[in-house]
Amino acid sequence: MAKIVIDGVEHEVNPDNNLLQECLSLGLDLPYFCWHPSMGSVGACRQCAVMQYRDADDKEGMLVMACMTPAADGAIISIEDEGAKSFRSEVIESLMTSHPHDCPVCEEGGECHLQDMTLMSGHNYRRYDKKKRTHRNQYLGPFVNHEMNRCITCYRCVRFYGDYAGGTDLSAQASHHHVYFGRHEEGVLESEFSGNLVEVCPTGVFTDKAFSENYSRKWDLQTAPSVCVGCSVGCNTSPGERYGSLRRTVNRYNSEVNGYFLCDRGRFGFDFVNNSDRLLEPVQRVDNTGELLADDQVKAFIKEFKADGTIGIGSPRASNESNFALRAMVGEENFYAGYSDVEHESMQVLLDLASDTAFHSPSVREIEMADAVLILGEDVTNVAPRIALALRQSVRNKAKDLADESRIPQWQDSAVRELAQHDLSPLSIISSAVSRLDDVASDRVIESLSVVAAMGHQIANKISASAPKADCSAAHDQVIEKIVEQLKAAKRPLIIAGNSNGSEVIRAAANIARALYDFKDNSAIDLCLLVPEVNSVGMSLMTNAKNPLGAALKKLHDGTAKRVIVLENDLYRRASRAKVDAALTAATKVLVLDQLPTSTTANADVVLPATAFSEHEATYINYEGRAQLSFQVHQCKKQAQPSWRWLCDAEHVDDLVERCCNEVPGLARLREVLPGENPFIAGMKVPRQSHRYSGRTAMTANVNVHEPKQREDKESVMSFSMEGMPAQKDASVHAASWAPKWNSNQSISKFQDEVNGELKQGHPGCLLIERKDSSGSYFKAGSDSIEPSANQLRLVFSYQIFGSDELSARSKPIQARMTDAYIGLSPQDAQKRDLRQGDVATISPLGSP
Amino acid sequence: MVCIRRGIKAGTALLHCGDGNISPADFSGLIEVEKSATQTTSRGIGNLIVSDFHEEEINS
Amino acid sequence: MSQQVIASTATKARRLSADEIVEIEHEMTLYPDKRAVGLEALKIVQKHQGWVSDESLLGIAKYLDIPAADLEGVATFFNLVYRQQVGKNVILFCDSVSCWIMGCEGIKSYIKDKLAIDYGETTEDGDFTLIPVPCLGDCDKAPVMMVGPDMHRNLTPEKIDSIIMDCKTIQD
Repeated sequence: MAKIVIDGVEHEVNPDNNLLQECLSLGLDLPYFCWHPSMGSVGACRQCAVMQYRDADDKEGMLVMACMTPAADGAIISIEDEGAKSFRSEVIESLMTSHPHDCPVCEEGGECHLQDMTLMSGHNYRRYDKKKRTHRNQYLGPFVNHEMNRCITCYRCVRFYGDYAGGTDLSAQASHHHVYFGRHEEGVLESEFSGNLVEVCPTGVFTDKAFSENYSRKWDLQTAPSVCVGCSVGCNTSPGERYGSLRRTVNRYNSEVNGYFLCDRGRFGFDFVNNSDRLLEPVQRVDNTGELLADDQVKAFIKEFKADGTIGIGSPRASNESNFALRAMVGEENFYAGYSDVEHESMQVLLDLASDTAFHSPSVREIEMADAVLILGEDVTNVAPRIALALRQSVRNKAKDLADESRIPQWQDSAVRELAQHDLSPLSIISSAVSRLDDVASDRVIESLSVVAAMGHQIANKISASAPKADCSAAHDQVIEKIVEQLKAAKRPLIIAGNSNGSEVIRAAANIARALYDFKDNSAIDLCLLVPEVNSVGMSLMTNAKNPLGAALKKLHDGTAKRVIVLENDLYRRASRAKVDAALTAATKVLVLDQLPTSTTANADVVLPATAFSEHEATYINYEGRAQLSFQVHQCKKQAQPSWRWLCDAEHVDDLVERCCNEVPGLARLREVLPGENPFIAGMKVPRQSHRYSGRTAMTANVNVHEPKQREDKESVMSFSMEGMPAQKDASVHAASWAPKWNSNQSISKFQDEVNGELKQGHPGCLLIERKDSSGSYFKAGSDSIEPSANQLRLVFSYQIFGSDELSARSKPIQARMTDAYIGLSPQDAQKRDLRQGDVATISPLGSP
Repeated sequence: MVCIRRGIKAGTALLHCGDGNISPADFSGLIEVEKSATQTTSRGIGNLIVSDFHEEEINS
Repeated sequence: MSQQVIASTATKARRLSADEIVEIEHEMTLYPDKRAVGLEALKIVQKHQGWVSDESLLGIAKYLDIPAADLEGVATFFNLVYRQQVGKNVILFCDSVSCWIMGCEGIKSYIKDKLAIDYGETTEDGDFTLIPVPCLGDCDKAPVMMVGPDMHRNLTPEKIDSIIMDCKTIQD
């Protein structure tokens, strides 16, 4: 720690950081634009100027940019000095000369960093009365609006889009007064992280297009802390609702998981909640027509299912509580996995590895720390996009090492990038097709699935001779040797695989990590195993290994089981059409709970409407075994209920969480994610509405002029109201970040321990899976030896960020970016079959492996 | 829809199921691919992130 | 909505000419990084084509395998990389302090009347484009201007006449 004096007061600061960051960590107000907590300093905007003094006798001082000056021991600075203040107000005045002052019609208005900083810097009268420069805007696709006139040229957009996220189609153009941030020509922004521009831009140049079309001010949105249900990473979000529809999703800071950024599936995939096809009433199918069910009819129906001969099929996209309620209702022995049998098999391998002491399942933040990465057989960008963004940061660890050697502070972003040029930490990818991370890969091997696994085993064997050898042609010896050396030399190596295409690759990845564990004298190795859905891990912890979906379908087909309850799941995506058809036809009664109609609901006797993620409180478990709590944001119109409420008598989520802790071995610590013992301050709940929430009493006046009673929320620590105590203390109920003078998302620094630290008394989630005392043993090498012959092709499933996730694929903005189903072929294979790009093709299965 | 890329291993077929009627569960292991007579598509594959495969489409 | 999508390769790249490629290849031996060759490549193409069209810009980006957006950033940063078509002769007219003291305004209006173009415009016959520059570094001989590679000093209306005449003759 270093001691510095700011405006006559001594503070303890971290000398490895710059003055701006330390001032913000101390809670002081110092305006800035170009600096970003996760992107470091470039000193472009000159807004954070402070006066620095040589010593106590120096009365003159000199202006320095706080973001470009180290917080060195003994530094004496002043934020309040008149010279510094007037410099800052002149800087903002010049930045604002061409700004259109269109706040009333700007989507950023009310949560605009530029508004906040303008006020903070003391520029409140416009002297410039000349013509403003204007720009033409571009069409940038279905996610992001472009309004260049509002730009103050802080360069944050291109620094995020290009430097941080690896996008290549957004650049800074022209010079001096005409600087323009845009594409080479109009067109869709290609990066799958483009939506972050909305939050990264300090003003309204880049705004959320879907939100603009159905707009509400920040303070008019009802929000609650939520968890994205788009994939297994479990990024934290703040969805906002107004007039009964979900309007937008913004990032919610979690130091361990998503930090400041979301992927575009997470940001724009929520809209399925508003889908006009939503199931909203209990319906019984009678002769191919739907018949509404009354409450007592539903109850009678559920009672019928509480008899012997009922089985339940869980869901990897449903909450722990709903899966548990179903399991409790039908009994553990009758609760079956809600994913394919192939996935079930690989999930068992994965769960085994999860408790092995040789491995550590890294959080997203820890993934950024890796200094050598090997990706085996997985398309990370499309399966778990936020992790791909973290991997892009991990390859920069080399640059940070170089900076340390040259004694350049790591926050000197542009200097560090200049120093390192193209020098990156090793990241090797071995898989069957090119991927979006190839541009930062040190080695890229494209091989068939069986060779990918064999190469994995071979790498393990070369690291530690106790790992089994694999049959692997000598063709790749050189690259294998190189990867082995890189992993051995690394301080924190990371192996990534996933269950997109069976378990053999996972076994190979585990062997590599275990070999490293042996090599590195038994220190746990980062092994990141990806699964596709938000609660794949949670559901699998509740499911008996002997209960795969296939067994359930067989039981229904042969009549051993008569009735089936399908929880939030489209079985036709999980098992072959023939098998599902046979099972559902044979069953005497089929009950399906879901949010949207699917092929499965179409074949149900009774369909009960389930609430979507934003309409109920729930816990989910992410890829690393981290349990997180997601609050209810708004009420569902009509009769949808959380699935668990249809199935059991529990009154609170808390009750079910408690039962999960006691009855499911892997979930013993789940209760730790619930808000603390006493979340209430002075008996008040945490409001979901801001203190400025407008029109509450008039919102429904077009229907009824009587002021409706505000709905009470008896279950949650949050209220559907603007009264109460906004979350200052317990950050697990920290939804919309706001602090006095800080209306934008930049106010997050007011809630962190220090910049980029944990939220004050925060809750980054709870890691549930406990490691055993001893490590397991190596897997035998390779059995995936399906080699295609003659006209056959080895099938590899290709995930798409826009389209592969069932729910977000029904969100309008996402649909605008989806493709048709496609089959990807090499030019040779296409030529053999006389196929050209864009042709329509038929595929036929040739039996399972 | 057929999507041809140099960066796919020969002998491997990548399948993206889209939101149509193809279920991933109907396929595994080995498959055959043939030209189809029908030409009905809704979205096409133009939306594939262009640099997805870091190379230009092979149209000729 | 999905129909609105514009493929990012809407403009087609022009195949660079053999001469352009030879010169670009030479530049590539002088720099460690392809990205650094971008500016030289733009100058080479401008030398051969007179200006840098969208198609040319994409052609260079493709040839160097660098993002078109980055190259556009370079091209638009420099005023003298022409991203719009210019006349056969580009007049770079200095209107900085020394030239102003020496009466460049009169010269400028003379050119303006004679060619019927203002700053940033090209004559109808496509022969001349007039562009202001801040300084040509020849203040002791002000007012000055450049036409193509040639510097013209101590300008007078008579000199303008003969310069323009010369340009036309050479052309014909």
